[in-house]
Amino acid sequence: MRLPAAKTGPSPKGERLQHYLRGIPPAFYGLIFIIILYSLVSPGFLTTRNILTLLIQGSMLLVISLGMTLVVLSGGVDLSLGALLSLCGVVMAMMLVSGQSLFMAIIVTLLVGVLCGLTTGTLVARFGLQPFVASFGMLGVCEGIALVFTDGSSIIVRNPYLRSLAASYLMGIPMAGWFAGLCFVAFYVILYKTRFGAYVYGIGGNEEATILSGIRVIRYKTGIYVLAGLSAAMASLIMTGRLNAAHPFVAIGYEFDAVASVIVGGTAFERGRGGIWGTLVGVAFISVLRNGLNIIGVNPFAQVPVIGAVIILAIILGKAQKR
Amino acid sequence: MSSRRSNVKGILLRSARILVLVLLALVITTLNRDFATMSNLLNILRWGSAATILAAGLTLVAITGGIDLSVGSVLSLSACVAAYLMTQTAIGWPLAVAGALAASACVGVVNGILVTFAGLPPFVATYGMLWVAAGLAGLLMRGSVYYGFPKGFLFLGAGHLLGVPLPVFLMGILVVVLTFLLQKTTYGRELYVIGSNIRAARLAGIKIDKARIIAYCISSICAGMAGLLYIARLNAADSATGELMLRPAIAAVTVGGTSLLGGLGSVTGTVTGSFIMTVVLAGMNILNISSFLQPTVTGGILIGTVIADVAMRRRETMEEDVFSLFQNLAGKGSVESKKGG
Repeated sequence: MRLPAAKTGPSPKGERLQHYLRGIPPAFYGLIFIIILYSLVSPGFLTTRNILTLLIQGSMLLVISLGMTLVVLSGGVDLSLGALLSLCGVVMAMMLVSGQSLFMAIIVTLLVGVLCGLTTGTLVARFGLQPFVASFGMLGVCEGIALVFTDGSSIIVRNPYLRSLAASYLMGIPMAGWFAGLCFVAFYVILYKTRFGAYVYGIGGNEEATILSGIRVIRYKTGIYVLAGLSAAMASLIMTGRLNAAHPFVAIGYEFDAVASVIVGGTAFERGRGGIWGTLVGVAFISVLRNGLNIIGVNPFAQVPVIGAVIILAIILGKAQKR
Repeated sequence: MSSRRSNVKGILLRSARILVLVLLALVITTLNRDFATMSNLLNILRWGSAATILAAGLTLVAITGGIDLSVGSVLSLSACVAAYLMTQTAIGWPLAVAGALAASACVGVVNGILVTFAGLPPFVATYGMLWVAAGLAGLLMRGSVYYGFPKGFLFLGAGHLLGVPLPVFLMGILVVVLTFLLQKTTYGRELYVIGSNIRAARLAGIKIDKARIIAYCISSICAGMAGLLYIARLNAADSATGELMLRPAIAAVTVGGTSLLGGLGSVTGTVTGSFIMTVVLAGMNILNISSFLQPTVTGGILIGTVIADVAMRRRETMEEDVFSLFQNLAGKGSVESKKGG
C-alpha cells in the first residue's frame, strides 16, 4: 500500500502542488499579465485574425527555439541560427524556382541546415572553440553564401503546398502550428526519453564529469548543434510558406528572439537548468509581447530595448525563485 | 629559461604577422597595380586607423576573458547621436562629440553591470546590448540620413597633418595610451590576471567587478570614437553605419594574437591584425571580388585564427597538466610513504 506513494514522493498534495508551481517560469505569470493588459488596451488584440497570425509567428519561433534550447542547455549558444534560417529559405526558394520538386527542395534545405550545424558543432566540440565565436563566424559564412546565391535580392516562390503551411487550417489551427507541435513532441522525446537528452543536461551541468564517466561528449555535443541547424532549416519551411519569398537578410537577428525565448523560459546558461516546457512559455511570451507592441504601434526599434529589459527581469526573477 | 623561449616565440609570431601583412600587400599589388597607389595606401591607413581604434578597445575586454559583441552597434549609436546633435540642434560640434562618447560610455557601463552584477555570460549580455544599441540608434534616426557636418568636425576624419591622415595620429595616441595602461599600470596587469585566472584574481584581492566594468566602458568609448571618425570622413550618418564592423573587429583582435580565452594579448598586436583585415577587405574591393563574400571571408578568418589559438593554448595547458600531474603523483607518493611509515 505504501509503495506507490513512496514512488511518487512522500510529499503530501499541497507540497507537490508547490513543487509544480515552483517549476513554472515567472514568464508564465508575465504572459497572463500582458495578455490581460493588451486585451484591455487594444481591441485589435483578441481578434481571431490576430490570434491566428500570432500562432503562425509563434510556431516559427518555437521550432527554432527548440534547437536553441538544446544548445543553451549544454552551456553554449548558436548565434548563426538567424543567418542559417535565411540561407535555408534562399536554398529552398532557389530549388523551387529552378523547377525541382518540393520533396527534393525540402531534403536539400534540411541537408544544408544539418551541414551548417555539423560545422558549428565540430568547431565547438572537436576544436574547442567557444560557442559564440564558432557560431558568430558561421553567421558570417552563412550570410555571405546567401548573399552570393541571391545577388542580394529577394526570390519569389509560389508553391501551393508550402503556402498551405501558413494559409490552411486543420481543426481551426494553422498547419504551421501542427508542424511546430510535431517538432515539439520530437524534441520532447529526444530530450526526456533518450540517453542523448540526459547527456545534454550532463554536458551543461558538469561537462568534465560527463567526460570522465566515459561518455563521448564530442559526438553528443556535435549532435546538439546539428539538431539546432536542423531546427533552423525546419523553421525556414514555415517562413518561406508565410512570406512566399526568400531574402538573404530576412531572418538576420532572429536568433535574438530565440535566445530571448529560451532565457525567459527559465533555461539558464549554467548548471544545465531548464527545458522545453519553459521554452514553450518563453516563445508564447516573446511572440505575444512583440505582437502586442506592434498592435499598439511601438516602433520596431524600440521593441528591442523592451525585450532586453524583460529578459533581464526574467533572469533576476529566476534567480530569486531558485533561492 | 622557458619564459625566454616563449619570449622568442612571441617575437617570431609578432614579426610573422607583419610578414603576412607585407606579403598580402605584395600579392594584391601584383594582381592589381592600383593597390599600391599613394591615394589608395593613404585611404587604407585612414580606414585602418578607425578600424584599429574600434578593435583596440575590444582587445582589453578580450584580455579579461570577456567579449564585447555590442561594439558595432555602439559605433552606430555614437555616430547617430553626434550626427543628430550636430544637424538637428544648435549645439557646437565639440559638445556633440562629448555627447556621443557619453552615450557610448553608458552602453559600456550597462554591459559591465550585466556581466558582473547580473552574472550574465559576456557574450549574452553584450549580444543583447548589440540589439538594444542598434534599436536606440534606429529610434533616434527613424530611417533618415543626416549629413553636412561642421568643418571642424570633418577635419577629424578627413584632415591631414604633415601629409598623413589625422586618424593615424589619433590611433597612434590611443595605442600608446592603451599599451601603457596594459603594460605599466596596476590596472592593466589586473586585467591579465582576471583573464588568466579569475579565482586567483579574486583571492588576490583584485576588485574584479570594477576592473571589468571599466574594461567594457573603455571598449565602448573606443567604439564611439571609431564611429565619430567614420562619419567625419563620410560626412553622413545613418543607423546602419556600424553594421558590418563587428566581425572584422573581432577578427582583427584574434589575428593580432589576443586570445578570446583571456589573459593573453596586446594592443600592438591588434594594430597589425586590424591592418591585415583592412588590407584583405580593401584587396577584395580592388580585385573586384563581390562584396557579398566579405562576411564569409571575415568569418572564415575569425574561425581559422581561433582554431589555431585554441590548439596552441591546449598544447600549453597539456604540458602544464602533465607537469602538475607528475608533481601531484610525486607528492601523493611521499604522503603515502609517510603514512606507511
